[in-house]
Amino acid sequence: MSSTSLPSTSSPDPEATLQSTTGESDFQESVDFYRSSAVLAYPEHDGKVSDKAARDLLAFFRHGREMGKRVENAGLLPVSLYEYVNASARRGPYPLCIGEEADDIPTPLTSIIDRLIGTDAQSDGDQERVRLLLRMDAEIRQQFADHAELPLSKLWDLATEVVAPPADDATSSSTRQTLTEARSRLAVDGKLVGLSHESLVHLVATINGRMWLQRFSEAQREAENLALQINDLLEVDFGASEESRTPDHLEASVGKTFASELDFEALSGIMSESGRHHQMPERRRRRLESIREDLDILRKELLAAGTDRILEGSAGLESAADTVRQDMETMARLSKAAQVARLEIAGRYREEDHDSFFDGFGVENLTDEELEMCPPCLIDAGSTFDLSASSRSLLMDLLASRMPVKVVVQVNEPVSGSTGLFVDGIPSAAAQTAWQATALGSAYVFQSPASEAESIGRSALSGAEHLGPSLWSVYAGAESTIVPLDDYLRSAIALESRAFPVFEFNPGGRDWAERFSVDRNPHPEDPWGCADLEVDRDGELVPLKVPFSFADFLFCDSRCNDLFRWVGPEMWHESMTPVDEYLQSDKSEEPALVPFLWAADEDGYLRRVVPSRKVVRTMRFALERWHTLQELGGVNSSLAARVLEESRERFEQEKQEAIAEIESRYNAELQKTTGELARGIVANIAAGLLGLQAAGPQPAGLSGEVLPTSGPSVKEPSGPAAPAEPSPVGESETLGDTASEGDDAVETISLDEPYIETVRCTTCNECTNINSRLFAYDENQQAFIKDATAGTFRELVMAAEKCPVRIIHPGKPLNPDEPDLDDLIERARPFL
Amino acid sequence: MFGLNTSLAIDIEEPQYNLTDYQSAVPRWCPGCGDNAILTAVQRLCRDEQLPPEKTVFVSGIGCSSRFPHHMGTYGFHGLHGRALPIAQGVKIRRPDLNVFVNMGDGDCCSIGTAHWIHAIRYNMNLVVLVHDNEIYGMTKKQASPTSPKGLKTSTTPRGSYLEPLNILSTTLGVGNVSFVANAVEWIPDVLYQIIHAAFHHRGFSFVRIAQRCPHFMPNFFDCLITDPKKILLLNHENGIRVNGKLGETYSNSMEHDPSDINRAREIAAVSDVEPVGILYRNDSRQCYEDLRRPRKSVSVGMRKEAIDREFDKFAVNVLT
Ligand SMILES: Cc1ncc(C[n+]2csc(CCOP(=O)(O)OP(=O)(O)O)c2C)c(N)n1
Ligand code: SF4
Ligand code: SF4
Ligand SMILES: [Mg+2]
Repeated sequence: MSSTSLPSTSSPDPEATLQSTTGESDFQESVDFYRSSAVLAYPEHDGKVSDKAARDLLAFFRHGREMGKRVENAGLLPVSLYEYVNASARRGPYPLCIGEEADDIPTPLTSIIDRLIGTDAQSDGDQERVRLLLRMDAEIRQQFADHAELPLSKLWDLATEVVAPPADDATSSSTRQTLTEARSRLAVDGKLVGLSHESLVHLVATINGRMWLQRFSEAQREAENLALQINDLLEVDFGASEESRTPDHLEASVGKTFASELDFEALSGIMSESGRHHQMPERRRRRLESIREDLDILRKELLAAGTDRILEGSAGLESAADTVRQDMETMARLSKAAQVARLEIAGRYREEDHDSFFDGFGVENLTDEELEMCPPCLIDAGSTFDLSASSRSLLMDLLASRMPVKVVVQVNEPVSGSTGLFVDGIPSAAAQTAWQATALGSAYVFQSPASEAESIGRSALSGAEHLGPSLWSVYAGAESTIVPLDDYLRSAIALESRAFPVFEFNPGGRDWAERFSVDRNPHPEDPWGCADLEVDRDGELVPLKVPFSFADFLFCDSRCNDLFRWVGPEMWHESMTPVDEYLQSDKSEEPALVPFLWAADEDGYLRRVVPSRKVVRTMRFALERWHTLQELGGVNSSLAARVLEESRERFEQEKQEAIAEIESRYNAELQKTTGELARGIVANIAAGLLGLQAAGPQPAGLSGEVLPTSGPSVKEPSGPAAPAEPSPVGESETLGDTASEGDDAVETISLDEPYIETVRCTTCNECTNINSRLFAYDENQQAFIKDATAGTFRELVMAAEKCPVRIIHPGKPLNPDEPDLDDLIERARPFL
Repeated sequence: MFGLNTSLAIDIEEPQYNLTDYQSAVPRWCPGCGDNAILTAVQRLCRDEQLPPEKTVFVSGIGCSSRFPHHMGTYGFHGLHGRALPIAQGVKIRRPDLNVFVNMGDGDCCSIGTAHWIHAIRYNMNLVVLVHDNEIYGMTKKQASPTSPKGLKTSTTPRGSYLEPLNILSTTLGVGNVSFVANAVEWIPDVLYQIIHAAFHHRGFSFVRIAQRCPHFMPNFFDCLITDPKKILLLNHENGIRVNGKLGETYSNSMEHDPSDINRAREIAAVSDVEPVGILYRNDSRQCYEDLRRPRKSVSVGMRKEAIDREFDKFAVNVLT
């Protein structure tokens, strides 16, 4: 059987493992654990088969006439299951470690241990380590059975105590050291889950919660911070309140130690008299208090919804839409609180503008990013067969929406309703939930038998990443089986036989090829799983390749007993054909052939089981369904094959045409070139004869024409680079002047009028102190002469003298009658 | 995150601040004091950058210059002598969203506050630090400061000071992790403005030493520089400041200096015959301390109390048991 789906068999007893591996040098053997010691064998027989046997077999196959032996209580099982059922233990993919971090991929314990073992064990020491780790594997499973709540690392520690109990000797300490080192390399840590519907729901819920928390974390941190900052504002406000200055409050805030040394009455009195005690308006305080509360409570409500809420069954489906709507409203209220808080903190909340805006704030105002932060709504819908038709249609409505509903359903019967009818093998709608959901196009959909731990773990991540609805439809194994298969094998056979294949539809893919995949099925290119067995024939082991077909799957179901008969070797007529070969169309055309499947009895002797025609018909349907999935998943696609064939033909045709064209062009070129060459040679010879110099490589036809400005540029002798567009000298100088002056446009200043070099003014107040109507500051707080007539020449001269940067220029006196003018003019001279 | 659309939610008219919005009490500096020019340049910056007054803090120590916050219409913290920097750092680490400016006198920064000065350079927090260097203790009536020139007669050095002055620029440039050093003179307001503007836009500890006149105790002290523009050496560079036009003509003594060159910056800081004006050094890639140690969560007073109580409880003896 392909190793991807069925586990390797093993001995449960670590000691036994140790013993049986001792002396074995085959490393891989020890990793896989031992297969069961039970050996398959062909029953002994003289080889004689009567023709009557052939007729009987055909009569059963075609018309259901009684023959052979009934399969009830015969202890038969499909031959490829024999070693699994008879193995004393198996290393299956469960338990599965969920991990702890948001990006941890849930990983089967088997893979975790295998990774620790590695593939390069060569020496004896390595093999010792391998055995040790395999014993840990077995022991951790044991511990998990008793302590399902513990994370892997803790189970590892418990297992270490059993596998390598502390002792003083050197071997023990080196063993413990090996285990400590291995523990530090565990690929993931976290809780483990087993195979059950509850575990699966737990896994999906945990991962969804974890991924959502990652999306929400920044907002949640911000909400916390905003609440604290609003709290600060309120605390500061309280500090300005009368209550904060009451003797009692003062006493309480000082503490007991120094209380006796202080007079709080007096302190309260002083504090009330001193300083300004502005409190914020009542309305604002109420607003702040309410957003502080909202930021805290709503954040916690969302947290609980996102990580700790699972709706159940039909009731869960019915309330889902309301629940999502409520989450959105909570998010809207939180967003509103956060926005108001931000405005308040920035001091930009204006009641006249914002009150009405935020009164009307609701879900419609949420940004896309905020909508994406709404928590997922987890629904454990239970078995699809228990859901009423209306619940199922509700489920489809939810999956067709854009809501973050995350639904897990369980499928009990892959091919039919609970009545157990396999009449034509058409699966019931309940079993096809995932398939229907895929057609909706908006939901992430994953279908798988429960046995596929690793795929389910990965799909939990992908489905949680998808922001819209997601569906996990998982087949947990039908209860009716003719042989005592455990939960794991019951679902694994559905995978091998393609009764319930794995597929994934991820609407996030760019194209169909990215969206739909069947890759996680074992050998997705084959019609079904296949096992390579060895069977004892007269003391010699001979190979036997057996498929695990849909017929084998049905054969395991006791409800189908009537559809099969088994026969011993005395009836193994040559007209019998393995059922997979039989299904290949040309063989089933032959009326005399009878299909069979291989089975084994409790002692490992092979039997042939003949299915009725109904079974074969059902197989065809199942195979068709599988082919459809394969094609959709891009495997053996008939469309692709057709396109390939067409393009091969087209390519071939184009190739021929291209060759023809190249040939004709080549011929034309050849003729032309030979002609030119000949002319050239003649011309050269003629030129040589005339003693003329050839005019360089330039083609004669171009001489005299103006060449475009390509090619190497001609170097100018020296000087500045020429301007792109030459302009008259005068103009360019003007331009240059303006540029170097910047904004300081040249002003014409009359030396007769007083002025200040305003840009250099240091705002020292000297001049403005002298006369603030005469001297004033501009918008940059630098002085200028505001009104020369508003003061005297004396004031101008005094200011010029006081000005520390000497930028006041008094000019000429305006009033010729001002006293002491001569003296003042003399004093003004240095400031001209 | 939440409401990325908040600011767009409704069109609120953004307040427009003009210069008077940044003015507060009428300055009580002596007439002609150079602090006025620094005040104006800073107020212009606030207006041009439209810094919300409630998001802007001026922190100072003690001295004439340290009265600065009183004259700004923003938040302010008039601290203790020499302790402006640790207070400003505290404000910044707790409220990185605020624009924090520091005003110190030469005595404040380079005498009593020296230890804080050196370490603040090293911490490289995003602050604009203005040292009003009048080379004297103005407030305490002409006592010698570490930057007073040798031989200056002051009330504490009546026979003239004995030591060579401390070179503020060289000292600052010598501290590891320095990220921005500029030198300005307050009497060329346009250049002062450009330098403070660059300091504001540098992310890190932007240290600006400003030569400042104290006409009251040091009349004519800087006259040799004021009256002879050739004594001013302008440091032009595309990554620094650029002075053209008439001002460029007046201050024609200039050179190109690339502020990323710390060795050249140190050479320039050491010249004594001219006053270099411009950005000596800037390195925008140095990490700010508040980015390294920004608290992830805000902490309320209550939470702080709880945490302290928890710590105390570890050591407390319960008398009841
Ligand atoms: C701890 C302490 N020591 C001394 C003083 C006295 N004191 C007040 S201002 C000052 C010096 C101010 O000089 P500077 O910092 O240069 O400022 P300026 O007044 O020159 O602007 C001193 C020593 C004080 N206030 N506190
Ligand atoms: S005296 Fe000179 S520097 Fe002072 S305010 Fe008047 S113009 Fe400006
Ligand atoms: S004493 Fe000097 S520094 Fe202080 S205000 Fe007066 S002029 Fe300015
Ligand atoms: Mg000073």
